[in-house]
Amino acid sequence: MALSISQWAEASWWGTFVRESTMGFAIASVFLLFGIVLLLGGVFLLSLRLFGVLMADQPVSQVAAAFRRWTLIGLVATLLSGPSMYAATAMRYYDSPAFWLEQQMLAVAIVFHFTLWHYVTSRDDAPAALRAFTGILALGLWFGVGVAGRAIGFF
Amino acid sequence: MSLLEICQAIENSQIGTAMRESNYYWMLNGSHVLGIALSAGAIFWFDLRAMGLNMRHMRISEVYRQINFWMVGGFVLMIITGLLLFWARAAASYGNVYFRIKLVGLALAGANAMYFNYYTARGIAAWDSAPVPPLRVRMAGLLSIVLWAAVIASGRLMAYTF
Repeated sequence: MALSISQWAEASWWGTFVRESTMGFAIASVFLLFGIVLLLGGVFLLSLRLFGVLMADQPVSQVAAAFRRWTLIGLVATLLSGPSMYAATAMRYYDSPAFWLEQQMLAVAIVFHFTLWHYVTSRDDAPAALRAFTGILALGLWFGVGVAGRAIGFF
Repeated sequence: MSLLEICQAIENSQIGTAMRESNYYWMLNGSHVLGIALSAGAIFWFDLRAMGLNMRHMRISEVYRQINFWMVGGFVLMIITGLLLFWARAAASYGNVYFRIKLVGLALAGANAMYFNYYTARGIAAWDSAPVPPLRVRMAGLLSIVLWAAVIASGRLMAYTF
């Protein structure tokens, strides 16, 4: 199934457009990087708040509210630009172990982001241990996605 | 010895060649991206506060004090990994137009930050707690975001134009 989806994506008009335009793939990768900066920057700083080492005098929910909209914009930017890059060279991605690792980590990270992450960062009464666990998981997952994504160019 | 010849010597040095041909070169590349995410990500949050778009309930000096360590930490990681990447591809980078745009962007972003620290921030007591700071402060924040976006975009485009 993954093979047929990759073949379909690469042959699609969008995949063809991104692949054959002079700077299409490069521009998509720039927007992906903008998204990563917004997303990872926000997740990193909010994780530091969960650890109690940043803005410790501010309620977690208030810090999270300030970060939420922008990290969401970052996530949307990555989810729009990433598939465009995939569509352009889907068969090469299909053969890349780093791509599949990234996709699996991304799926887990997105579910985590809208469940445990949202739950813990929306309240001020979460136990310190749960906050620390959530912060470590967030950093591991999102930075893992970032590193695996960068590795696609090499593996 | 011209600048190009110096770059060629750097690229062809034992360390430059070893890094370029190493199986772990991608890790250096990934660390550079993480450094950018940390530094530019942290700077972005301060810029939003300077523009009066986020964390309006916090004093600007307080946001700066809280985020500064992580901005600097990410920046140091970005610069160290960036210099190592340059070492491996110095001659190729020298002639690359996006590399030159990136350097100019970095210099302007640095100048903007210094101007903010040494001139704009002198009167901070008057607007430190203002939800929406004066125009010159908001412009400094906007300029910082634009310049860092240019640095990130040109850095990424470098890889496609070697």
